[in-house]
Amino acid sequence: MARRIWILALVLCALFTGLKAWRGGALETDLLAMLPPTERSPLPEKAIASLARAAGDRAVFLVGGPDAPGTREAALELAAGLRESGAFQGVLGRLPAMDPGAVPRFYGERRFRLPAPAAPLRDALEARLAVPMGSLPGLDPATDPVGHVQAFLGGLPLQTLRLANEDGLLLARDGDRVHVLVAATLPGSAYDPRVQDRAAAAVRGAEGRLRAAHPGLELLRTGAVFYGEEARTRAEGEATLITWASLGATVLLFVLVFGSARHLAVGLLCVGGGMAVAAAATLAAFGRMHLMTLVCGASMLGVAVDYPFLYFAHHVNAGPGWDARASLRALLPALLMGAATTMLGFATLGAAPFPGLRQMALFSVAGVAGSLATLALVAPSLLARPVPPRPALAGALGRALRAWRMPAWALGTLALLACAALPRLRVDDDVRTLVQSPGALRAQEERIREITGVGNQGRFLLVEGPDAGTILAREEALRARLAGLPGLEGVQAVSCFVPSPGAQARSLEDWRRRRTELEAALKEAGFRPEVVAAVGPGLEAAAGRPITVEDWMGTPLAGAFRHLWMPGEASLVLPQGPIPSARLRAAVQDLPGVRLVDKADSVSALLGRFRRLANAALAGALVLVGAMLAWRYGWKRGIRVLLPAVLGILAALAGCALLGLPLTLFSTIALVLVLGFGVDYTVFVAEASEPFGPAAMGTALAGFATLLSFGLLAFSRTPVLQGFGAALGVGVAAALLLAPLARKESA
Amino acid sequence: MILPALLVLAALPQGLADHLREAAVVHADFQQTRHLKALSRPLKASGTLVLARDKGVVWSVRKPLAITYVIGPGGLLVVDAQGRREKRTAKDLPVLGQMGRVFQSLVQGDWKALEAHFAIEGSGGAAAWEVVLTPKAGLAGYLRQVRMKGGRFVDQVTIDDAGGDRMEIAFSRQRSQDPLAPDEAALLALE
Repeated sequence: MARRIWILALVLCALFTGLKAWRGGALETDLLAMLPPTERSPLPEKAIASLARAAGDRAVFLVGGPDAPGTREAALELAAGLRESGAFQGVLGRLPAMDPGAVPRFYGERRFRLPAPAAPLRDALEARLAVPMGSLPGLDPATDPVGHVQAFLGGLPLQTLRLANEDGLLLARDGDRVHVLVAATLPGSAYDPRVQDRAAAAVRGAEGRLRAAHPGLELLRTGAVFYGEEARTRAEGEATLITWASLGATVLLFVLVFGSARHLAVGLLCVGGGMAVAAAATLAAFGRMHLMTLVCGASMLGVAVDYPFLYFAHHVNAGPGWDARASLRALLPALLMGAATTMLGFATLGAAPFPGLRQMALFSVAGVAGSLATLALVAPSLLARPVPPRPALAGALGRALRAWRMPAWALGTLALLACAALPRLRVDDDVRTLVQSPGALRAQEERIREITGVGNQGRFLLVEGPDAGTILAREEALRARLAGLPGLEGVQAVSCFVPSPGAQARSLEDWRRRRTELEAALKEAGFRPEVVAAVGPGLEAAAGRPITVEDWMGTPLAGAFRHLWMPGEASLVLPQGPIPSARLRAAVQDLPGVRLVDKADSVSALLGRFRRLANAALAGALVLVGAMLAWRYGWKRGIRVLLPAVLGILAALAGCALLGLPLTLFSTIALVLVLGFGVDYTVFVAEASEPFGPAAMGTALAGFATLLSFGLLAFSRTPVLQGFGAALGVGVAAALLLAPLARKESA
Repeated sequence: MILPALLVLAALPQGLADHLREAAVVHADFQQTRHLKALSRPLKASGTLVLARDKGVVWSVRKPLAITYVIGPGGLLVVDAQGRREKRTAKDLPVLGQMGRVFQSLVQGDWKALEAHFAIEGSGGAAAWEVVLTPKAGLAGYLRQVRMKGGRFVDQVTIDDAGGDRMEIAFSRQRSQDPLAPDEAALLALE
């Protein structure tokens, strides 16, 4: 009965997972989504999200070539090709025609709210009229006689972008080459696999046609969507490879040792059962599964297969007297003990308020439980009949195990090596090395940044205040503080476009005071009487016509800066140039309502905090597992059962140090796994009725399978997985070799 | 806003493109008269200019105040009566580079570049000619018409801007035999 219900439950789990996968969107590829919010208050997170949307849902292309019509045509063809693909919501090649007078008129009408020149107005007026320059549309000499509106426009932070609008194309120049910019907006999130696949296919097609039609042109692209796509396909490829390799190795082990299709089928059933339960539980609890969980989950095969191995080892060694149920009952303490310690280790990981860790913890605990339950409920009825013993292989393995002693000198050498290596262990929490992006894409992004001057978008100064006026005034104080800092090339801020109410009032007051000076200067220069007479009414009108953020938002200028303003809450000030975050932070620390937000820095700090938390979890798990072992085996033997796992952890640390791999949060997770595996092995050995019998064989097989699956991770090109795999591989190997320490009477 | 000035300067070589192939430097005096709608009388200014092939232009206003504008392919330099300098490079203001390039192509007699921005009509012969430039879509928001007259050199340029103001520039004492003075060379290097 219980068996039927369990099989039904597994089928339902598999159906649920399948349905989720079929409907799409079940896989999360944004590594940062694994992390909890970095900031204590929601506002900076909102600002980060708004900035990420402004930059992330966009793909940018640069078509570079000689300054010839062909380069421009190629860019327009690329834009047309991308548009036709339908993979993008909008593609911008040619800029829409803009009224060149809109912006000068906007400020011209509000001129008395902009700062007056420091010089005597008579001089300023003369200089303005003597230059051989025409006027901007909407800024004739009557509107801007002393040139202060033009000066204000010249100071707007538009120059920091090295792009110029030439004949409706956005163009950057690099020596005698031109680069034409084409921008495309995505129809959805840059981390949505469907959006990624369509965008990648469209770009490949359009690029191919472009290269064929215009050979020799340089083509650069950047955008979160490309990074996401590349990371996802790579991780998916690696997950697939590791899954198949691990599966293949397990199958090979089964065939070699047990030589029966039945054992293989039951083994796979247990693994599959564990995976189905794990996937369904994760999806039910989190809605979607993170890529990292899946990749680590693929390695779960190695854990899930441990329990069948132990059981089968007894089956093949039992001979004709095999009683499937009695044997299971006899093994149950070992199985439960092993599973309980493993799950305990995983569960401590989930204690940290870290979505990614919780997901992995849940996945692993559910997977171990599912696999064990499948074994206990389903396997005995499928393996009811005894099998002929396979003395040749089992005997050989048994003899090898019996002969196996860790020689004292080898142990000593290894210990010395470990002690020598440990001081070299580095810690690295920098998220930038963790989320290392593909080299070619990174180089392209770097080049685009160089050509266009569009800078780092993950760092900004957040300015908060109770109302728009306070925010603008605080921005002005901030800009004054930042002015002249070495390494700072410019600042983008709304207050560059909209002076604070205080500054506007000061300007207006200044103009009122200098009214007679202005009128005299105009008269002297020969301005018509009606222009002179208009100064007074103009000043009066200016009092009731403030420059507001709302009005400014309606001008064509605002489009590129809209994301800097979070209405009623805060604003973003973007520093540009290679200025270190520490210098910025030091410069602004005493300004009210201003703080530096650096997502990469915050995430790195967070990773460091959680690495320390995971270390504490590991220590806690060691104590808990040790207590559990002491309760079952007594103090002395409990320590001997725990020791191989502890030494395995030390070996993993030494291995990382020797390989030059830094210790990250994820290698700490690997250490927790080493504890789980190591204790599994020693428990199997400790619970064994005879020291060198089937239990030893099951342990060895389980260890080999684990090593095969995790060892492969060490060859991953994703740094996180590489460190994870290396720590696990070394740790498990050491724990396995030391497992005989736990033998009942190992004398 | 700088474009009209550049066109004035750039227009010079139309008549002297041939001479420029040998003579790389032209010196001249100018008399500028602005008719502004807002002013009841015309506004006059005068000064000198140096046009150096491949290097740029030094436009020095002497009256009613001293101010010098240097426009080269690399950017813009302004020196006021007190000797204060303000430099804007093409790197931080791309539009300057754009102007510089238009200018450059004109200096070298590249009328194709001009045809991208203007409809061009000419009349007369080599000794006395007249050219009318009417801007195409992009520039029409800034300019209405540019007229140039000259013989061996450009003698007069008239610019009507979109707002209805007019600028007339008359050139005199044009000469192509003087070499570039050291101070002029320094200015052209934006130093």
